[in-house]
Amino acid sequence: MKKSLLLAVLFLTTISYSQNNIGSGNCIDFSANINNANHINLGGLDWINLNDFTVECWMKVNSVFDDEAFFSNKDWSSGTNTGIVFDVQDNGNNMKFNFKDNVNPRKDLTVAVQVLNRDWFHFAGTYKRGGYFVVYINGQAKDSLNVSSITSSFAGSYTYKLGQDGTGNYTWNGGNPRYNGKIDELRIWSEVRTAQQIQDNMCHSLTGNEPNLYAYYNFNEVSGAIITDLSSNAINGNIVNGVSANRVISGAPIGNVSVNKYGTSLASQTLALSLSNAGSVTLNNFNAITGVHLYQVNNLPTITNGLNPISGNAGYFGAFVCDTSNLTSFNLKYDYSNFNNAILDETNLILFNRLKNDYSPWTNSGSSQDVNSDNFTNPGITSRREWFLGTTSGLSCQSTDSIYIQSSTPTSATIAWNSNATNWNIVWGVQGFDFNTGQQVTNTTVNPYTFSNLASGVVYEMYVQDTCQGSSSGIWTGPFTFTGQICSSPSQLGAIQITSSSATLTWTNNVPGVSLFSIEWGLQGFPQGVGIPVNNVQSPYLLSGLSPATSYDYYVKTNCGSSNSSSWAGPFTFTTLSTAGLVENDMSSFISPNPFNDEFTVTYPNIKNEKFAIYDALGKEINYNVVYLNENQLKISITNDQNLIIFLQVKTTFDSKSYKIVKN
Amino acid sequence: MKKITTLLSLLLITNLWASQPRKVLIIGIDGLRTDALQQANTPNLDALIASGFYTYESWHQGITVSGPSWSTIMTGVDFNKHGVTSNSYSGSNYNTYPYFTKRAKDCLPDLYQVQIVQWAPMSDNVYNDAWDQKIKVCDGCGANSVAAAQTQLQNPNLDVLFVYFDECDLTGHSTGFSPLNPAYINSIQTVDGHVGSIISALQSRPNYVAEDWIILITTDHGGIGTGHGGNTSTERKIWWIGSGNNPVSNQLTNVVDPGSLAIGNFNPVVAEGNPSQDDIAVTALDHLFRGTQCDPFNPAWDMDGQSWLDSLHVENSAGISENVIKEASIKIYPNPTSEILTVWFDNPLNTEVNPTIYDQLGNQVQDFKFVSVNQNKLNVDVSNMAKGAYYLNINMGDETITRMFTVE
Repeated sequence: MKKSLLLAVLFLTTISYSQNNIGSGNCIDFSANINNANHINLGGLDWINLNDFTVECWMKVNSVFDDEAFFSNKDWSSGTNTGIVFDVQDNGNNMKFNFKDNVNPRKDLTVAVQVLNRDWFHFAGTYKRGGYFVVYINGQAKDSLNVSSITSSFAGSYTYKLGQDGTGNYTWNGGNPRYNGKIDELRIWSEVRTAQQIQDNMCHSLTGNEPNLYAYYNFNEVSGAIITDLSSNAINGNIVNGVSANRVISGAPIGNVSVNKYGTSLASQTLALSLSNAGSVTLNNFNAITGVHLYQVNNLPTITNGLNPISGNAGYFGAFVCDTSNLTSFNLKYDYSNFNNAILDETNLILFNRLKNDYSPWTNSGSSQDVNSDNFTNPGITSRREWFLGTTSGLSCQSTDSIYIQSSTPTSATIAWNSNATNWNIVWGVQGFDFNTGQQVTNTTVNPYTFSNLASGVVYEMYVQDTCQGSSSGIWTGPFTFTGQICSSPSQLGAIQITSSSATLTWTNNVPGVSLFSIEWGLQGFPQGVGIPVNNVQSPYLLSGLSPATSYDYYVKTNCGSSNSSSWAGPFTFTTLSTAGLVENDMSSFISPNPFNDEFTVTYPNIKNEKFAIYDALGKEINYNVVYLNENQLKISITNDQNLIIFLQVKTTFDSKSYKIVKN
Repeated sequence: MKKITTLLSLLLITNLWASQPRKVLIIGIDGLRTDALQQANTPNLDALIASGFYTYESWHQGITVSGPSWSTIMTGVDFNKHGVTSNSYSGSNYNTYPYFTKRAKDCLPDLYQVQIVQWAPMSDNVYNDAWDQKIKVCDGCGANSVAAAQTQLQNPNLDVLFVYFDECDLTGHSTGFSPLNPAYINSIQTVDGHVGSIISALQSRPNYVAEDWIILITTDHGGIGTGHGGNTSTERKIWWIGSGNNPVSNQLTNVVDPGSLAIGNFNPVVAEGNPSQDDIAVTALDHLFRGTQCDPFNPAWDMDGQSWLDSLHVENSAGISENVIKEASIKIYPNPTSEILTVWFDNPLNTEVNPTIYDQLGNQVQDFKFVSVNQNKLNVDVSNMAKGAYYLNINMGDETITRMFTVE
């Protein structure tokens, strides 16, 4: 009951104010008129000047000229002017924050955040008077600045601007004044928001009635120059130098409801949301993820390109991953048992997906359907995604599904898909590529298809659709994520047949079709780079000329082809044997004669003062008679009738060595 | 009665094989002033000097700055040819005058040659050098250099190793290049410990006795105040040491200064036969090439240096053991002297050392001072002694070595 009431209100809002309130709705795109000081004048925002506050918004930065203010009330031509500046700079590698009251020296904070070429990200800055300014990215604290020295007001000569500095016409170094990107869901709070408050609210829209919400702009107007403040303060903004293209669909991950998990170890955590007549989504198995949101949108999507909905579908779901590593992944289960029309159409169901709201088209997610359990599952999803349950009924072309990798080498991947069609279009590119500008393979009959010249360690995505033998086109399936065969490190490092002077190094290859490896070895504990390299060898590898009773480390890596090699495995530590009782170098010229009959002479520096012993081949000490000729020479007699191989062991100050002698 | 022994006979056994692989270890110690080395307690360097070859009077013929100097040491030509005149290395002409390692590799491509340095420009700014490995450790991180050298010396195929230390130069720049500066002396003693560790690792090579190593140790320049680069004697008068498996006990003293290309008074006739920096590369090449078809003195290379190989290294005949009577090694420097007299001596049994001084009449004199003594070196302060000739007796257990010296 309550839900349908909310839906009705939203529907009414959409009609009455010409707004796009579905999901993230619209946003402001400053790139539409970047060379003409396009910005939004937010007015005084007087609260900020003397009180605690929080500013947060979603951002997507297209390019960075340098030093571009996106939220400011100061003349940025000099940092010493009164006011504040939030800015992106350094080719998009930093955000900078500058605070100058009208009395005290200014305070600066530069935060290393790569904003350029990054997908939509969430920024929040919390300012505590007499305390700290803290910067959060995607809900995670990145850095802070002690602002206790700031005691006076930020009020200067200018009002607060979005997308420009306070003057509204700032130019940097003679270049064009611009914040070249999009901004959505700007919220200004009259309090310091906590990390949890930021996290719990960033992926769903607000009502405007939340306590301490000072100003709230969702930018969902589809036209006009007015930017509506949805809070009770009604501090409406105004687009200056605006164009109609400022108003575009937003790709920020915003639903009506959201849940989240943050932490360093989320592998065993679960996120779930359920919407009647849509489905229940469960996410788990979070890998390399320290922050993740699941949100639901209680409407049909704004963009329906590629979508074939089921009658009565009440909405869709999305997931946002806070981490930017390309190692992130998670599993999806989409249960439709709460959606009667879906169950009735079960054999035709298709789980569509797309990356985000401003991305087209919707495609078949390629998820596996379990009709007994009424669900789809999809493991190993690598980045943010939105899902919508639809149907193939009424479509003429064949669907393609179950894309899978058939084989790969370190530089190529052969991808196959299940389809009754005969001709397909393919679009592919590096993960996150814009679908409209991807590489295209048109109307191919080749399935499986081999993608070659892949770069090492790069993640790719592909989409495929039936072309109805070239006459039409079916639903796109994808993205299917793949890489060239990962050039894995060897494993199970070992050392066998260890003697006092050699060891045979062994390891297990983990890359089929590859047979060459590189080794780096040295004394135990050596830092990599100073060791002794051996290139293009195979297991087993004999290392000789080693010192006795010495511990060594070695590392080994796989050579997968031209400048493509794995990371190092190791170190593996082994220790050569002591020479005691073992054959050492051929030092026979110390010993004369050799072979001997009954006696032999040993000539060795200062041997009178050295300890020595004689062993047989089994290591058993042998009786002998010795006569010292001088300090450096002695004569040894062994009188028995046996033919023997014996070993003379000499212990010096530094080590001991054994010499092989033959008795006839 | 005076007990004077001028020769100490030692029976040594030398083991010889027909094809002992010839190998080179060069240790470079940046900014180590000669008189400070003389006065520091450096048992490891002293042991090499006592049994091997040294000079404390290798006059710098070029620019007393690291970049030009190390380039000369490693190329065998002076700065007017290799082109490096500053630490920027701009103007370098290593294509025409490369490091000796490049010459060596061109003729003996199987050589394995490794450089370990602390001062990055020596690695980054040098090209066409044919090192198989160029290892860089942080500035002043001598222990890291030693660890890297210890690992590299485990490689049975290692042929040429160059290890470089910059602690002395760093200390000199910060607190003064002076034998009176305890911090500078301390840095020298630290580096001497590093040298000892490397020599020990070298001698622990499993096949060491079957290899034929020469060891060359030198500095690039001295210093004055907290700098260098000028042409004072304390910047230009440098030292080097030659040793190895088969060293010759030898010293080069009273070398006449041939002048300098940097000053413009260089006299090539005087320089003929003098030890200088450009000799290191040629000596190393001579050692690596001997017995091969390769010519270390290829006239096309236009080398400025000469080889001291036969002055510091004994060539072995092949295949048999032989006994070598080795002259007792005692070296004194400088002689004549007026302040510090340094004496190096072999002390194979590491016995206690008792030095005494007699005048020409055989009377023991007391008006001198032993400044420092270790197992291989003795420093005597003679500044209070009357001018004239004296005898120094060094008693080591059963042996007494005596040398005459002159106070002037």
